[in-house]
Amino acid sequence: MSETADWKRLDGALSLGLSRQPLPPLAGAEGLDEPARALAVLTLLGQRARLAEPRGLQGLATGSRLPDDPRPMLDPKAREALLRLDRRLDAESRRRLAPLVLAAIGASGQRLHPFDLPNLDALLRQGGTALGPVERAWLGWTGASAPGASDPEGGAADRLGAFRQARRKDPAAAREALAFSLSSEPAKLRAELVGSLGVGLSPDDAQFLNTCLGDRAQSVREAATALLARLPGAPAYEDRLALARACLGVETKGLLRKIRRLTFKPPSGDRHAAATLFQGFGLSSLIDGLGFEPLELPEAAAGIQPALPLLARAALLDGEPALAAAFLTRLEDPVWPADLLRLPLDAQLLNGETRQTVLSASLTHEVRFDPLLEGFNLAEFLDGPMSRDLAERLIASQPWRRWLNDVIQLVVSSDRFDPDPVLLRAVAAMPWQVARAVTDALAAIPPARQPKTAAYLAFLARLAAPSKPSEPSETPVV
Amino acid sequence: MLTLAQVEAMAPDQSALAAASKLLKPSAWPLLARDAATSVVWGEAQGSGSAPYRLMFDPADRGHKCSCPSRKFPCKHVLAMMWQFAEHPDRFAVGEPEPWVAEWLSRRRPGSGRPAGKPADANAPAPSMAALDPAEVSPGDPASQAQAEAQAAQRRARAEAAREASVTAGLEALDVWIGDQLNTGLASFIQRAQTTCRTAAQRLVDVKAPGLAARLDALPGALLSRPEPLRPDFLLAELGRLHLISAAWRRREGLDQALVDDLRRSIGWSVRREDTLNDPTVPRWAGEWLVAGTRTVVQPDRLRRTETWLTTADPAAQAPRAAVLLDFTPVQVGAGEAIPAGELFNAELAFYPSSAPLRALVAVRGPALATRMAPQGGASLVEALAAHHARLAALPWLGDDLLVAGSGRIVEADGALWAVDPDTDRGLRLAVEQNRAASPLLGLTLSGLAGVWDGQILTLLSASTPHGPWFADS
Repeated sequence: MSETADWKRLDGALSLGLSRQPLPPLAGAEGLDEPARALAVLTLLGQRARLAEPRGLQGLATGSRLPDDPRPMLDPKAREALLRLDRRLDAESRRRLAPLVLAAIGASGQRLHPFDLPNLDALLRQGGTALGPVERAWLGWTGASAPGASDPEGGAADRLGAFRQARRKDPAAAREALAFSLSSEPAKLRAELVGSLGVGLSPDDAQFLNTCLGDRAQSVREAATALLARLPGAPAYEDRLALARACLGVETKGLLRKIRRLTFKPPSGDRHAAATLFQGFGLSSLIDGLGFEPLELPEAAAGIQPALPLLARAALLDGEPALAAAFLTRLEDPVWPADLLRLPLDAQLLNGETRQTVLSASLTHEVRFDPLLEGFNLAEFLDGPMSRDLAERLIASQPWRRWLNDVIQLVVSSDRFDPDPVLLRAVAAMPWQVARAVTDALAAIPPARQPKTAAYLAFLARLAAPSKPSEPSETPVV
Repeated sequence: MLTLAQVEAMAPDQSALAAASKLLKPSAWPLLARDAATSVVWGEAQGSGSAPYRLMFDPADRGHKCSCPSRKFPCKHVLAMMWQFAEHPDRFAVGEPEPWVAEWLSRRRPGSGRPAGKPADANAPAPSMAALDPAEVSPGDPASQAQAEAQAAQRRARAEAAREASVTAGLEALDVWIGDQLNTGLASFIQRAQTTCRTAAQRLVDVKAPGLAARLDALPGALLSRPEPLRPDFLLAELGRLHLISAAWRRREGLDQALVDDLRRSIGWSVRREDTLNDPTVPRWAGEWLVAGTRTVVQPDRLRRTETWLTTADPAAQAPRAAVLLDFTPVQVGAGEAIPAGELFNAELAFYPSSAPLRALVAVRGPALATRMAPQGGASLVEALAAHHARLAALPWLGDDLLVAGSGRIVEADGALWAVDPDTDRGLRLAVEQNRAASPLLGLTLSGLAGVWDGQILTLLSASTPHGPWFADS
């Protein structure tokens, strides 16, 4: 009975069925009838299985699937705050917040605790470029698909976003990478990728854009044509620039003291005609020959309200965000950020640094924020977390205070108004250093009316006060 | 007067009410009556058997009883009778209580004021009994009280003997059923498991062996939930365990009392929580206990079982190394509050009598000494398994057990994670469901771990790691 083969025979008989394969004779079981013998064998086999030695696993790889990361891990309270935040997020707010949460953790010099990775799976999947090496390894190991991989549209959006970022960092390298992979992309995405070469457009792109003129898709050819028209020296560029310049003029007023003002005669066509015409021209090109110094222009243009956003955009293209902000603050009722959003300017043309500078420069008392920040996400506009300096300036500024007061009035006046999404859009880009100040500023709004925002700020506040993050919270039992 | 809202409030779930609604036809009730003096109502409901079920209800304290085998309290018959009493009291003929009603009443209202007819079920809520208020019961004179108690004791002894006979017959039938499965072949068991186990479990309920019935009812689910290569051995072990219980029952006269206690609890005899706590002979251990982890399982009878696994904080203590607290709540009530994993507290535990003590009650509890702690130190994993085998030898049908080890590693093999003894490289397979949660432990050196071992699979509860404590439920 001790022979393995005998056990296997018995096992086989019970498995196949005793009606087909009766039990072999068993020593010591002669006195038992057939059913009793079967039950005894069953019990023996069952107990034998339960008393089996553990399996030998010599030689198996035991290394972690996760790479080393020397940064300290979040402390227990920050972990708890993060998990509480994650539980409160719906899919949409998680998508928006995930990169910022991960970026905030990284900015604090810490990292996620590896034990939390399984619970934060949904958040990590939305982490995008903010994912660290450990999180990426985790997602890869658990077989989680890349964000949007199962969704062709989402995948295209990700690739487009990644390309624009790459283009901002190194225009030439991005263009070469695009030239390599463009033909394998679908037409719609090809057109958008080619259009994105407007970020950092230079004469070096001309050759590639000319090859795009032979693309089989008309949308790609049109995108390339439009960009070629923005390249200085191209005939179409020169023609359009001449038309745009013709829209701007100078008039002189005043008897004792002559004041020179800028005039604007919009081109004929629909309401987008001026935006289309001015697209891609820097301010210096437009005002060449008008006899103005750049710093004189905001004041000189104050009377031509429709042109102010166009000039602001042109200043941005010249790399003059402060000047752009000066144009915007001359608007009669400057609503920030709505006016910026209405700029006939592809937002992706601006890098994150420029955007932060624009925001900083426009924080004058004349600017006001749209209380509902409708359709606007400060974090998305800024393309990442806000710098500490900017955040401190923002929350100390009059526009911010006025905006917050407007929101509080809305909360007080209506139970139906849900301030949580508005507040979250506004504070999502805040760095952890200002979390407590922002929390204090929002104290007039009951926590129950801002659950996600409160949870987010509580988490950020925990980042501000890490307590020996790499150590366990309790002394283990000995 | 009873209202429909009160009836609804007493229903264990909506399905019981729905079933009751189908029994409202007068033709289903050969007898409906009430006592004008006490307002007690009783009736006979025509079930599927030859004899109708007998049931009674006392509106005064909403106590009730039915002879049907349902595990729901109140059952659909009682609900249907109460429903009719609320809507159509005229259907209830006024009269003297039937003898079986009078007997029930006498058992419910002895001089002690404690309901004695039905032992409280530690595994199930008993709202009807809980509704009894001893203060409402008026004590009789001592002589008649003693006589009543003696009679009640005789009745209990008779009922006990009847139940034992019923269980004996049921276990013989169970052995026949197992033999049938062996004749047909265990390889094809999985295809018929759901149906055949349900039928056999129902028979065990009928013979008043609800513990075994629950075990058999849960078998198909447990079988399907584990990886295919493990199923044959699991089936052998489970069916073998059922037969072991059956065989032990037939030989119970020669067994130690502790083993008999184990046997009776496995079959389904319930033990009152209070009786265990008030019994000076049950083993008790006072000291620091650490919650290694908790598990929640919804049973086929719609009760949520919450297991709180405890281990002694001091591995060298002369006490049981582990204990489990079981709490049962109806699913619709929601999860009860368990002691959180990682909490260390001072307590005196009272263990249910057993040849391998494990299940316990907290007799005296002190304040929490610490939170978020994981076990650390102690025997190796192989030694912990050997200790489990020793307990298995003492209690051959031992079920889930807590393994606590002072060291370990988590490795990956055959698409599963394993807890490995670093000294011997021998390992125990972790539950597949834990692959994701436990994967951050891969490659870490554990200075302590605790898990529930079911003979094949270890469900890791907590571990001490260089990154701090790890808990399965966090």
